[in-house]
Amino acid sequence: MSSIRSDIVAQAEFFTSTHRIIGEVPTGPKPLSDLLNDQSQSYLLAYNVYLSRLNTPGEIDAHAPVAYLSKANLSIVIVSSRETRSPDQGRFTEQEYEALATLPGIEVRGRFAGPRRIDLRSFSPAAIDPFLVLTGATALLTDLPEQPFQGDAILVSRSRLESLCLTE
Amino acid sequence: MPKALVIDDHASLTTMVGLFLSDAGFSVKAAVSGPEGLDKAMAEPPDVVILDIMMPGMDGYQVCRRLRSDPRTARAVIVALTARGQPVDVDMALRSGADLHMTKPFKGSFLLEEIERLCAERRPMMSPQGFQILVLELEEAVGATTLACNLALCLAAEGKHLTALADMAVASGQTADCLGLGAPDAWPTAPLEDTEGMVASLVRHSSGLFALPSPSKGNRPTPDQVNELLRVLREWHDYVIVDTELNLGPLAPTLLSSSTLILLLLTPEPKVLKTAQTSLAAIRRLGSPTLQIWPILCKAQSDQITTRERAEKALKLPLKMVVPWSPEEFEAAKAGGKPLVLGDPQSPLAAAIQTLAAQIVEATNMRPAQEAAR
Repeated sequence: MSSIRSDIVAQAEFFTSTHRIIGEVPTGPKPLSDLLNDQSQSYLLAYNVYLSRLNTPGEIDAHAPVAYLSKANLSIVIVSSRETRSPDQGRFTEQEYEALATLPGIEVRGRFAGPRRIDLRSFSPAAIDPFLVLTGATALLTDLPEQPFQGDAILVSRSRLESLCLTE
Repeated sequence: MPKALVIDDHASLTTMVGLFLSDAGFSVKAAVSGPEGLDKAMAEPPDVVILDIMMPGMDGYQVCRRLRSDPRTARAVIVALTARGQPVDVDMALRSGADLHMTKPFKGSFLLEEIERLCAERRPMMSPQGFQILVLELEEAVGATTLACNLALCLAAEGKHLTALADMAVASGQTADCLGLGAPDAWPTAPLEDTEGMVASLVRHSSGLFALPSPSKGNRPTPDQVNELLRVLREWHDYVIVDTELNLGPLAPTLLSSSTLILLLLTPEPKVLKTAQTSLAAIRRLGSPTLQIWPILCKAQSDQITTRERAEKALKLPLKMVVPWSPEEFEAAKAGGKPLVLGDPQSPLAAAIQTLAAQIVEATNMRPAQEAAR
């Protein structure tokens, strides 16, 4: 794929309620999760984007050299491990949970690092990061459950989260 | 030297992959877009194509489908090399016609191993030119077109052999109906020069078989035109199955001299067996010295052993096969609009044709490069 910018770029798969969008985001030295969780900016610019409708996620329906992505309308983002921050070994990430997150049209299963005594109120959108990280994760489109989407990490939008189930 | 074509809109990647391949002994061409890649592929058909998927304009899936739908490029080994690595993307690449899906970043040594494996599987022992098989009936309505169509489908099945079915029954051809395909208006008048016209005349069946139905309009083709048509088809395909009219007509010398094998369909009717010897003599006179003749008895309904003996005595040749006769199977296939080997592959007639196809593959794989063994 050709790049418009010569900065360090991250390639990721962005899912909205209707489309799968693969594109490159210039990130510089920070992981993409930092840019997504930066609440001072409501959007991302992605380059060399290829769009697919969710009912036919393998087909390429459109291409654009640049796209504006509204963070509020992203459901999940599939990234490689280098695009997330490793959980600090501290009080807030000392326990690993098996997690199942549901969003409109999507289920995500993966591992979530959290505190030993979890307060589920911390999962509200008003909490710290707009996107929570599930590692070693698999996403299923509920209309196409036989075609999983996998990634080192899947960033899940808290504002679009319908439910989060945690098992120790 | 085998030829490779690398198609990727990222020029540095085409250079890198090109270096791997040229170190491995390939002659390499590169393209940075789908349309450029297709132009280069049609101009000089490659043995191997390394194809990016995410390219602006024409994506790799479209390029792949175009390569597979043209007989000049249909047999190339195609590797989709892409950052799209989800199971749905692998499935999409394979359904578009790629032989292999590989994600970026990739290991050069692994790519080369896989290319070598796929090339070795491709055409292990076939001769540089395809084998032409003529299906000829000695009596009307024996089932030559049915046999030709179903045999061609068996040979083309699962992409094992690139196969063409040519309908030389110009005024009365029925292969288009048998396969549910349209017919071209006319064939190209100079097939050797007009390869685009030649490709446009071919119709690709969903099974992967390429058909050249008899034209619906235009003048009757000349023997030279037919000779050129068949020569181009043999260059592009592993097998060319030729369906023809009763008694071959004015194309007899052309069709017989260019064929490797003739499937001679006859019935146990006394009048057919009586004239069979005369037909065989004419075939041997007009055909090449290496032409193989496989007599096939059709419509043998009762006492097959006696019938077989009688036929072999009349021909002074062993029969290759006795095809089970079932009018019900023919009618059911016609009514269903689907050839027998696709609609009812377990039926006795379909099974017999599958056996015949396997025998042909075995016989042609055992051939030396240029000559047929008797």
